[in-house]
Amino acid sequence: MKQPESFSGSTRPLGLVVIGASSGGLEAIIRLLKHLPTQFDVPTAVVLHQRANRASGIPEMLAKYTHLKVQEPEDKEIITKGHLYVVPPNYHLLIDSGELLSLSLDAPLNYCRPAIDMTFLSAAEVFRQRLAGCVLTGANDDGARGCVAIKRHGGVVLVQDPQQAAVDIMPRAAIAATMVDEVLTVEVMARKLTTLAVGADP
Amino acid sequence: MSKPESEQNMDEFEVEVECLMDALFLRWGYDFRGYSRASLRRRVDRYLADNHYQRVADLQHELIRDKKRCIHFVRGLTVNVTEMFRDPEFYRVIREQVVPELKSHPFLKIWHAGCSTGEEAYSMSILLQEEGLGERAVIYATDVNSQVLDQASKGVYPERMLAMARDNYRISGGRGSLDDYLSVGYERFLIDPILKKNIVFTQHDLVTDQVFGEMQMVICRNVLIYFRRELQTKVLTLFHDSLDLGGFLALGIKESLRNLPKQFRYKAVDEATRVFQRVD
Ligand SMILES: C[S@@+](CC[C@H](N)C(=O)[O-])C[C@H]1O[C@@H](n2cnc3c(N)ncnc32)[C@H](O)[C@@H]1O
Repeated sequence: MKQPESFSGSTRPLGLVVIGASSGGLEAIIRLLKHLPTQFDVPTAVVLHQRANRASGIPEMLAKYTHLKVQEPEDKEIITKGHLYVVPPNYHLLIDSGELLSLSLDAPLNYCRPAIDMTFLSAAEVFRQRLAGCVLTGANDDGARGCVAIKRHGGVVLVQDPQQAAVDIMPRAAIAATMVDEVLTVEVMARKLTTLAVGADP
Repeated sequence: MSKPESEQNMDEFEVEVECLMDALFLRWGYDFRGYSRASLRRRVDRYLADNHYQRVADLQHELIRDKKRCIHFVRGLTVNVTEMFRDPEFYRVIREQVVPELKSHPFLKIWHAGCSTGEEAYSMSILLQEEGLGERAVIYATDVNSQVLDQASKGVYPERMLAMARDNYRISGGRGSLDDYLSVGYERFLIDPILKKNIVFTQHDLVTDQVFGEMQMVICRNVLIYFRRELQTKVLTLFHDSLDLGGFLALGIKESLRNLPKQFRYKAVDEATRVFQRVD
């Protein structure tokens, strides 16, 4: 078995960031985006649990706070630098081989569609050490299994400090599931992603 | 440019899944080799866990020898989630922009490819009735999975799906009440058999089977998302060859024609709901 590369010794540039969030998530994501510098261009996918069945308005809302090009991905789109992909309501987002975005209507996982675990698991398999998974505020444990997979494949897991999170259940579940790399506020998380983006050792 | 598949350094599980798909094709002719890898991995992973297999190799050993088990497995590979009047805006576009053109045809042939348990075909049948096209239309509703087709031809669904169906129907521009087309009882609802009259449910595999000729409309929603790009191209070609000139092609709202062979021409009837018209 391959050993996961240790986080501190890493010099890989990131290929993909996946941000998972649930209750209170929109606000936390906005804060994170606001703190990403304009040179940050790593493709980023946002998996946010939503109740709405239809057009959520979330991409438009996020676009106000980021230089990244915000869009709901189409099926089999090539993952591209400088883009922020917001998973459309009622679909799961999978990361496919060839670094493609793939949508699925598979049954809800952890009662969620989109489910963070679906994206984390598939992204870990394709991007391995070049993946950063971020777990923000939320009221269930979606994402925790995905974090285990990310660590097994040598990727990075960053978790919002439960004490800072609007709802701490999701961050705590991630922390309990595996050896996450760091627990931090979303502001510091943004800085961390920026250093990881270029493969620099912070 | 992405490297040819063989040069991509696949992990162990991915290699196992690829081999398993090759084995199923060689042994029984089931061809899932062109399906999205990410989706197949999730499905195989789930199947292993649900059926207590330790290793893909154990599963493969059995599937090569046991056809019954293989059928069970293959059914689990397809995702069959659907609902009545899913994406109501799509049905509104059909009503407002496509129906007026369809009215010029004395006889209509419509193909729902990947119809799953049939809700989509019944929704279309209701719409056509309301628009006065019910008498002249035949709907061919096909799927690779014979089990969902059995359910489709029964037209019986859990009552808990009804609230959403009613909402969708209303937003789609329905002219009456959805309840006029069904009866409710025993926690289920039953589609009015009248609506079945012009629907033909039949098994058809988009990967291995032939064209359905001279359709005025082909509807294939949320099926291509499970296919790799090469297979999408092949299936879009199949649809093209099945469509009349001026015929309509409808995809799922997150699907696109990006993998359409360059020489085929379509114009968008409605970009947002992915309704296109063949123009060459
Ligand atoms: C998610 S359902 C979509 C149902 C419906 N069209 C909708 O959008 O609500 C996908 C369907 O495609 C079918 N399918 C998958 N592969 C197929 C193939 N090779 N040929 C025909 N149907 C296929 C599956 O069996 C499943 O019923």
